[in-house]
Amino acid sequence: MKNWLLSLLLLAPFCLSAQTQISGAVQDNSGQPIPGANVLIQGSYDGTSTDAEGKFSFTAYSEGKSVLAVTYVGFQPWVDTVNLTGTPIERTIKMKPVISDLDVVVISAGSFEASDERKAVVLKPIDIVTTAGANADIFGALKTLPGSNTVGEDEGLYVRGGDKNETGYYIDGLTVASPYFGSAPDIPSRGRFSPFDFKGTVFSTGGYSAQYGQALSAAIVLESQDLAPQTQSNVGILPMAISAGHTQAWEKSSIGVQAGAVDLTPFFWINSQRTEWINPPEGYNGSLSLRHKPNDKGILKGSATYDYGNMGLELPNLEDPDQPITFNLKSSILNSYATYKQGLGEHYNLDLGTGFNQDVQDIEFGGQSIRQDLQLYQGRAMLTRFIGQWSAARIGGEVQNRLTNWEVGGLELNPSSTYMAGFAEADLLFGHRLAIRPGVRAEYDDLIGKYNVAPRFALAYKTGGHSQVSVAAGQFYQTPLPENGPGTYDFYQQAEGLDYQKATHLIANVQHMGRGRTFRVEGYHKIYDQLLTWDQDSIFRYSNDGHGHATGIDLFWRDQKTIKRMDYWVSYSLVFTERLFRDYPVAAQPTFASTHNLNVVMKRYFQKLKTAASLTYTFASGRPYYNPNSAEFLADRAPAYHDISFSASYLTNLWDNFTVVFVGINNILGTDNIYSYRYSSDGSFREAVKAPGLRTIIVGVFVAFDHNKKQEE
Amino acid sequence: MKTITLALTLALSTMLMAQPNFEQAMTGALSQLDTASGKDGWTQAINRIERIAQAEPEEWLPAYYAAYGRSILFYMSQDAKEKDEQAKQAESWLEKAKAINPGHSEVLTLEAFVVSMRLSQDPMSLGATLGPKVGQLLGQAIQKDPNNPRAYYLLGQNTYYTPAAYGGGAEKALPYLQKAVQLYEAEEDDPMLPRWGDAQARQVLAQCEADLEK
Repeated sequence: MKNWLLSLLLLAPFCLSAQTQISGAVQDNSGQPIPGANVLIQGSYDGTSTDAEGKFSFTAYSEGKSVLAVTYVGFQPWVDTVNLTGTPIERTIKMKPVISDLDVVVISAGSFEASDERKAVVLKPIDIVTTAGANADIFGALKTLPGSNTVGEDEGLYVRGGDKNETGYYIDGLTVASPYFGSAPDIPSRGRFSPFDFKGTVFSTGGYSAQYGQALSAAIVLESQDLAPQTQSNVGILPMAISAGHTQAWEKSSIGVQAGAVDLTPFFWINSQRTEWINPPEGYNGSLSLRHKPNDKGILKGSATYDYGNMGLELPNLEDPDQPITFNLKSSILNSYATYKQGLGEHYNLDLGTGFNQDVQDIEFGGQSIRQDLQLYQGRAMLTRFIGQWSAARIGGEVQNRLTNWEVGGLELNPSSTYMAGFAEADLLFGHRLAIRPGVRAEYDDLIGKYNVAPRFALAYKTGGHSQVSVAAGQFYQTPLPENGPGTYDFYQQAEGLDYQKATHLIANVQHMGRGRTFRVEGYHKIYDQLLTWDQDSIFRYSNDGHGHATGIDLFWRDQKTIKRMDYWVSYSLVFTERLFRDYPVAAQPTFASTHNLNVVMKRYFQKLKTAASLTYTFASGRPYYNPNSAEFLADRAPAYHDISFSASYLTNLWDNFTVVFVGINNILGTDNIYSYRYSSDGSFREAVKAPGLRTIIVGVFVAFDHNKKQEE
Repeated sequence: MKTITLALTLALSTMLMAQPNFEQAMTGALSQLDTASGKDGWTQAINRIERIAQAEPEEWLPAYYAAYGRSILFYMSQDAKEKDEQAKQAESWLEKAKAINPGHSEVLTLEAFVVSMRLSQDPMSLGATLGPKVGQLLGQAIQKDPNNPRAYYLLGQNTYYTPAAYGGGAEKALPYLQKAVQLYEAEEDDPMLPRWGDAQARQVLAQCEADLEK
C-alpha cells in the first residue's frame, strides 16, 4: 500500500504537468527561412534549434504563462508570452536584423577620420605612422589627403584655398595654440606631437561641428590615448636625435614620461645643405602623460609637452646679395592640459577640460630683436545627452584668455583678450539611413568687442549597403590676428574697430566603402568675407575689406584588396580660388594655392624580409608668386612640384626586445623643386625659394622594452 | 510488485526526461559539442548550451562554454558582419561568466581567448593594445592555477604565431606547448569543469616541432 502511494506521489507531478508541443518556423523579414536559430522557453532547458528549412518543434514541460524566445546571430532577439496548457502551439516568427555600426550612416561631408575604435573610417592611426615622406609626423601624413595643398617651404596645413592660420588644432576639444616647432623663414618645421599619443584623428576640410571655432578653413581634431595598456620603456636613436621614455601601467592608472635631445649637425654631414647654417637646429624636449580611471565611466587625463630649440642661419638678402641677413631663433613651447570625462547614468556624459599653453620666441632678424610671448589659458565644459542607440545632443561652452607680450626693437606691447563661446548641436538619426546634425555656435571676443552667431548643418543619407551621400553647410568665424612684424603695434591700436573674418562652406559628398576599397568624391564652394587687409603707409591701416572664394573637387580612392599585401591610395584636389586679403591690391589666386594637387601613397609589407615599405609621390601644379615686373598681380607661376619619397621599417629583435630599424629617403630623385621666387624691391634681382637640401636620408633605431614579458618568463 | 517497480521506473525516467538536473543537462550538451561537426553542428550544440546558460544564471560553466562556442563560430564565419555579431555574443557571455566567477584561472584564460579573437579582426591596428593584454591575462591565469593546460596551450599558440621580431617564434613556443600537453595528460575528466584544447595543443606542438627540425 505504501508503495502504491509512493508511486502515485511520484506519478503526480508527471500527470499534472502538461506537456505542450510547440512548433513553427523562423523567417527573416523577406520570408526566407533562418536555420540554426535558438528557440526556447525562457528560464527552462526546453527548446531546440531550427532545421535547414527554418522549422522547429519541441516539447515544453513547464506550464502556465511563459516566455517563448528566439535568438539568432545578426538578428534582434524575438520574444512573446505563451500560455502552456498542453494545447499545441504553432508560430511563424519573423525576425528583424540587428543594425550594426557598419550599417549606420555617418556624416562624412568634409571629414577624414582615422580611428581604431570606429569601423567605418577611411584610415587607421597606424596609416599615419607608416606613410613615406611624412616622417611619422601626423600633420605630414594628413598632407597626403585631398584638400591639402603642398607648400614645400612652410609647415602647417593649407586647406582648400585657405591660409595655414585658418586651420584649427584641437586635442580632446581644447585648442592647441602651437602645434608646430619654431621655424625659420622658408624652412618648414615638424608637428610637435607623436602620432602614438592619439587614438583618433579627424581631418576636417570643411563643414565641421559647432564644437570647433576660430578656424575658417579646416579643423584637426585629435583624441588622446586612454590608459596605457602596458608597462614599457623605449629608446630611439637617430643620427641627429636621441629619445627615451618609460610608461608605467597599473590597473586604473598610468604614467608616461618621455625625454629627448636633438642636434641636426650630424644630419647635415649626411645631407648636404644649401642653406648657410650658423648654428644648426638643436634642442631638447620632454613630455609627461597621466591617466586615471576613477570608475568605469570616467577618465582623468593630464598631459604636458615642453620643447626648447634654437637655430641660426643666413637668409638671402634680396636688396644686397653680398650681405646675407642673419636669423637666430630661440623657441620654448609648453602645452599642457587636463581633461575629465565622466558618464552620468545611462544618458549623460560630462566633459571638462582646462589647459595652459605658452610659446616664447626670441628672434634676431638682421640685427633687430623681436620677442614674442604668447600665453593661452582655457577652460571648456560640454554635456552630452544620448538619445536612443545612435543619437545624441551636446551643449557646451569655452573661455580662453590670451596674454601676449611683444618686444620689437625696444617697443613693448602687452595686449590681452578674452574669448568666450557657447555651442549646441545634435546628431539625430532617423532609422539607420538618415542622419542630420544641426548646430549653432556663438562667440564673443573682447579684442574686437564683437559677437557672432554661426549656424552649422550637415546631413547624410545611406543609399545602399556601402554607399552614402552627405552634405554640409555652415558659417565659420575667426578673430583677425596680426603678422609677426612691424604692423603688430598698429594692429592692436586699431583692433577694436575690426570685425570677424568670415567663411561660408557648402559641401556635397558621395562615398562608397566596399570591402577593402573606398571611393570618395566631394565638391565644395567656400565664400570668404571680411578678411583682414592692410595698407602699408607710414602706419598700417587695417580693415575687413577682404573677400574671396574657393571652388573645387576632391577625389580619394583607396584600395587594400586588388593587389595582395599592397595598400595604396590616391588623392587628387582641384581648386579654383581667388582672394583679396592682406596687402593684395586686387583679388588673385593666393601664393599658397596650387590648382592641382596629387598624392599617391603605396604601402606594402614584405613578410619574408619582415619589412614594411612605403612610397609616396606628390605633385602640385605651380603656385603664383609676386613679380614686381609683371603688369598683372600674381600672374606668374612657379614650376610644378614633384617628389617621390620612400620609407622602410625593418622589424626585428635586439636582445629580445622589439626593435624597428627605420630608413627614410625624401625626394629620392633629387628633384630641385622651386617653390616660389622672391624679388628685390626694385625687381632687378630674384632668388628662388628652394628646400635647404635636395635628397634627405634618415636612419633610425627604435627599441621597445616590454617589462611584462620579462616577468612571465 | 513488478508493476509497482515498473510504474516507479517509468515515472522516474519520465521525470528525468522532463526535468534533467543541471549536471545531466551540461553532460548532454557538452557531449553534443564534443561530437559536433561543421558550422551547423556547432550552432546547434551552442544553442543547447545557451539554453542552459539562460536558465541557470548562477552557474558560470554554461556561460563559459557559450562564450567559448561563440568564439569558435567566429572563426568559422566568413562574413565580416557575422563575425562581428558572433564576437559580440562571445563577449557578452564572457562578461556573464566573469561576473559569476571572477578571477578564476579558466575564466581568465577564456578572456585571453576572446581578446585574441577580437585581435584577429585587425591585428595591424589592434596588436599594440590587445596583444599585451592577452599575455597579461594568460600570465594571471597561470599564476592562479599553474596546472591549467589551456593557459599554457594559448600562451604557446600565441607565441608560436607571433613573429620573432615581436618576441615570438617556434623556439620560444615549444616549452609552453610541451608543458600544456603534459598537463592535459594529467587532467582528470570532470564534466563540471572546462575541458578543451588537448587535440589542438598537440597539433600546434607537432607543427612547432616540425618547424624546429627544418
